[in-house]
Parts: sequence; C-alpha cells; structure tokens
Amino acid sequence: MKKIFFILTMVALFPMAMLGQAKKPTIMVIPSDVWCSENGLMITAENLGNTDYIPDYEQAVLNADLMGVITKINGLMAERGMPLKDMSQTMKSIKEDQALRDQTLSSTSGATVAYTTKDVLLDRAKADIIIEVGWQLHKKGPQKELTYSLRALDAYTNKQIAENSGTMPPSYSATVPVLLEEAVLEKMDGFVSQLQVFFDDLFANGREISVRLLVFDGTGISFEDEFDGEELTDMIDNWMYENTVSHRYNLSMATEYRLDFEQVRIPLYDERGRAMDARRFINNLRKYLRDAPFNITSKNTTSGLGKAELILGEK
Amino acid sequence: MKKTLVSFFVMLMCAVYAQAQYSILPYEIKGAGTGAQGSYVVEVTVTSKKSNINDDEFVKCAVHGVLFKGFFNDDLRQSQKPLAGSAMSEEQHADFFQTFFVSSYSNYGQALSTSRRVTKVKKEYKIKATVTVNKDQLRKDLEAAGVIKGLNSGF
Repeated sequence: MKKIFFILTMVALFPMAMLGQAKKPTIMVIPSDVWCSENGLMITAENLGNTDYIPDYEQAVLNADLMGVITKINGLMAERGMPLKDMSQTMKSIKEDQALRDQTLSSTSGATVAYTTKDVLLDRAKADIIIEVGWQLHKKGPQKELTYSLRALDAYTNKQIAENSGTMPPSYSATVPVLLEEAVLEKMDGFVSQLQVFFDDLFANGREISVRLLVFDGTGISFEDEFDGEELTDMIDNWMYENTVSHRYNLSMATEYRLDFEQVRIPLYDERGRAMDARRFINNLRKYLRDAPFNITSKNTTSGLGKAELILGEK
Repeated sequence: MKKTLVSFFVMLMCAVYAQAQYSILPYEIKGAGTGAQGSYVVEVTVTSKKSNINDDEFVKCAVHGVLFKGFFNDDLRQSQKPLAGSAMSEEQHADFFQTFFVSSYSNYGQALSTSRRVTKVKKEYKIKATVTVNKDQLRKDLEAAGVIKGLNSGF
C-alpha cells in the first residue's frame, strides 16, 4: 500500500517537475542610442545614398561611467536570480570567435570553416530582452541634476516591456558616479516589478512571438495556391488558430509570397513537456506543410526565442 | 453538548487571540532618501496616545508600509511601489503575516533613535522616526516563504 502511494506521488510530481523550467530569456544591458549620440559614439555609414547612424558599442564599453552603471545593473539583476549577458564580454567573445574561425583549417585538406553570410550577420551582440540605459547631466548653477532612463525591450516583438525613468534630486557635491549609483538603486525596484508583470503575462498567456513565412524565388510556390479547395494562406491561418494559446495571433500581412503573423501566443511547453520557443513552434508548421496534401519542403531559418521564420520551397 | 460548547469556545478564543496578536498603530510613511544598496530609508509618523513608543513599533510600521503601501517623497523625487504587490497580499497571506508581525519583522529594520521627533496634536502625539528597512533580505525571505514571486520563478 505504501509502495503504491509512493509511486502515485512520484507520477503526480513528475510532470510538475518537468513543467517547472521554461526557457529563461537572455537579457543584456546596452547604452541607449540617445546616450551614444550625446557622447559622440555613433558611426556613420552610407546606405543607398542615405546616412545611417549606428551606435559604436566597442567604444562605448570604454566609458567608465557607462561600465559602472552596467555592472551595477548586472549585479542587481543577478541578485534577483536573473544574471545578464555582459555586453563587453559578449563583444570580445564575438571577435575571438571570428578570429579563431578564420584561423581554423582542416588537417587533411586545409579547408576553412564554412559559414554563410547570415552566420556573420547573426554574430552580433544580441539578447532576447534588451535593457537600454542612458542619462543626461544638467547643471543649474552650482547644482548637478541627473535625468536617468532605463527601459526594457522585447527584441523580437519590439515592444517596450518595462520602464523607469526620472530626474534625481539636485546635488551640490555628489560626483557623477555617485549620482548614477543613486539613480540605479532608486529606479531598479520599480523597473523589476514591471519586468515581473511581463513574465507573469508570459506564464499566463504564453510567449509572444512573431512569425514570418516567405517563399524561395523560382520554386513556383505561392500562398495563393489552392489545396482541397482552400488557399494555402487560409490553411496556414487555420493551423495558427489551432496551435496558439487561446487562438491569439494576428495575421498582419498576407501577400502572394509573404505572410506575417504578429502577437502570436505560443505555449511555453510542447506536448512532451519540453520548453517551447519560436524555432520549435515553427518546426511543427514545417512538418505540417511537409505532409500531404501540401508536400512542401521548407527551411526553418529561426534564430532566437521569439522570431520565427520559415522559407517555403527548398531546404 | 458540553464538549461541543467547549470546542466552540476554544475556537472562538483562538480566533480572537489570532486577531489580537497582530496590531499596528496608525502611521504614515514617506521616503527619506536613497539608502545603501539593499535597503530603503523611510520616515514613519506614528499617531499614538503615548509619547514614548518603542523603536520596534516604528520598525513594524516601516516594514508594513514597505510591504503593502509603498512610499513616495515629492521633494526627493522618490517613489517605490509596495514590495508585496498590493494591500491585497496581506489578506491573501493572512496566516503568514499574523506570525510575521509578531516578531519576525524586527529582523528587517532598524529605527534611528536620534531621528525621533514628537509633536502633540490635541490629545494625541505624532511621533516621527527614520527607519532603515533591509528590503533585499525581506524580499528574499518572502520569496522563499512563497508569499511573493521571484523574478526567476518558473524559469
């Protein structure tokens, strides 16, 4: 009797243990574009006749005040059980990886490591949640006043998910690092409580992702093709309806060769209890399209937790 | 019948006793500047008929305020939300807080005795004191007790 009770308890607890681990999003603190611009840390690049301004993060990490703020935020978040990706270390690691890859040769044929243009593009400092930090120092006579801003962005849906900004009380004597430390300590709790609301929503309503479907050129496939009397767009739309949490998604763009779904709420776990992310979710659609009546081969080009991309027609 | 009456009386006394062991003086709370890392510095104003209030009473009010009221100070441009989410949390975890506010609360704060100021208003006293609340430890212990959720809960 005791044994049966023990087995039943274990059977009941096992799925709970399995479901206890959703994928933790990666978070990184970076300086805001405004801060980079005001500190002369923007690179200009010519792009089709237009001038683009890109933040120079490599130079930014050499700013002592910025690194002090980032280190403090990283420390406070780690205390909350959410260690962050460190921007300066990530950038160093990317450079080292690139150098090593260029130097790695096969011992037999002397071949270099194969990588696509996309691999190079993805080799940038990235995270699922970006925390942008910035500040401005105003002088009012002998007094210094610091305006501080902190905001978190979901890197895939581009939504602002937390924010806490404001102007700190003026000071006659405090140095800039002291004013910054005060601002970080003062604003962090409010910011984290908003982040908590975002995570609570994630657990209640599923992870929000965006999905893009494209077609390889020259494959003859179009989203207007008909199967069993229905257009491919509608069949995919029906699949989305069946596979999203509470059928929550929005088909924001539908053309012959492109479908964009936004605010797609996917479950946190698949039917086997594994943590679900955009890649796994869209892989299920890939399998659905691979089978009859579609028999469409497609390539899952998803990178990251929240932005799924599937290109139909080829691998 | 006698047994039923005795049981009923014991239950009634327990309920009355449980209510009686958790009482807080009327108070107001506001921010008193940025504290050291992991702490809040707040100013608590207690209204009482006695002028000599124990330091522990200020700590109890400060911890209660940090947990369920939050605080702000316009002059210092300071504003903090309640650590426990809202006043609803006090009702939801009533059993926990009944015990917590009997003795445990005193581990999370310290009143600065030199900061005390007493003002007599009619027949009552308004007594102010500055209290440092160890909010990081308070939050961690409440998370461990399952009263509030941690940022990494579920991951």
